[in-house]
Amino acid sequence: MRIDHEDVGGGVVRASLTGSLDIAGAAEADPALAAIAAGAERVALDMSGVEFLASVGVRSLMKAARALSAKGGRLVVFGADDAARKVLRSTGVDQVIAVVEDEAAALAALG
Amino acid sequence: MAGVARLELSPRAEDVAVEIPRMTAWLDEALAAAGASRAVAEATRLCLHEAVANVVEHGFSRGGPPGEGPMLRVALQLGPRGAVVAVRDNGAPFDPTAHPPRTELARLDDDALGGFGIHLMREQSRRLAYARDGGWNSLTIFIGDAA
Repeated sequence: MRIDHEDVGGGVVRASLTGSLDIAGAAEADPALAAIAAGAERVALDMSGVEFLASVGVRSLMKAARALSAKGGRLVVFGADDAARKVLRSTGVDQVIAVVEDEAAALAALG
Repeated sequence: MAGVARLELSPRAEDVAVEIPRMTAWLDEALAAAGASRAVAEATRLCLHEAVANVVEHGFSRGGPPGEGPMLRVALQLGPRGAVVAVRDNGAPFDPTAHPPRTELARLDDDALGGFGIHLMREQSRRLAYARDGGWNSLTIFIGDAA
């Protein structure tokens, strides 16, 4: 699992995940996402490099979203493929975390 | 339906970084060899990962059975339109089919953050069957139009 992030200005951090968000990948993504959430208020998360999303990855996203929400911030997810979107929809996570098509929509949603 | 592919894995948490990618590579090869449809491949991948994740997370938190190391065995029968996934482990008794369905979807203030895996397995499969047999958990997942 590879995790990158950059400050894109306006108080927004753009982060990206590459690899499988299974129990092996989430073990690496969790602390990295926690660190990103600790240092930012608004995060646009690019999931276009996530080739597989399991429930443990859903929990990683929920933890990051909760940490941001607790300080008035927000997580927006974009670029998820069809299979990942199905998992986000099925678990109801797309009702509590904004899931949008692309980076432009994510940045617009974060204002 | 083609023959049965088998894999033995270490379910120890410290082995996950090696064992899960090994399982994924094994599964991808089996899916390709069977000519599984995209729908069958995605459902099989998700169900297998969720079943194995449950074993890794819950099966051996109090150690393995006395005199034996933790063991996890996967058997996979695949066809173009369906799959049967059997996951056996010698960890603590755990029956996913006995867990009540999630009555609510995710909430940001939901402390538990659990139950998603079983929910996904139920949704992606036609049927889940569980048995406890001689110190082993045996979970069988029927996906799609399987024998």
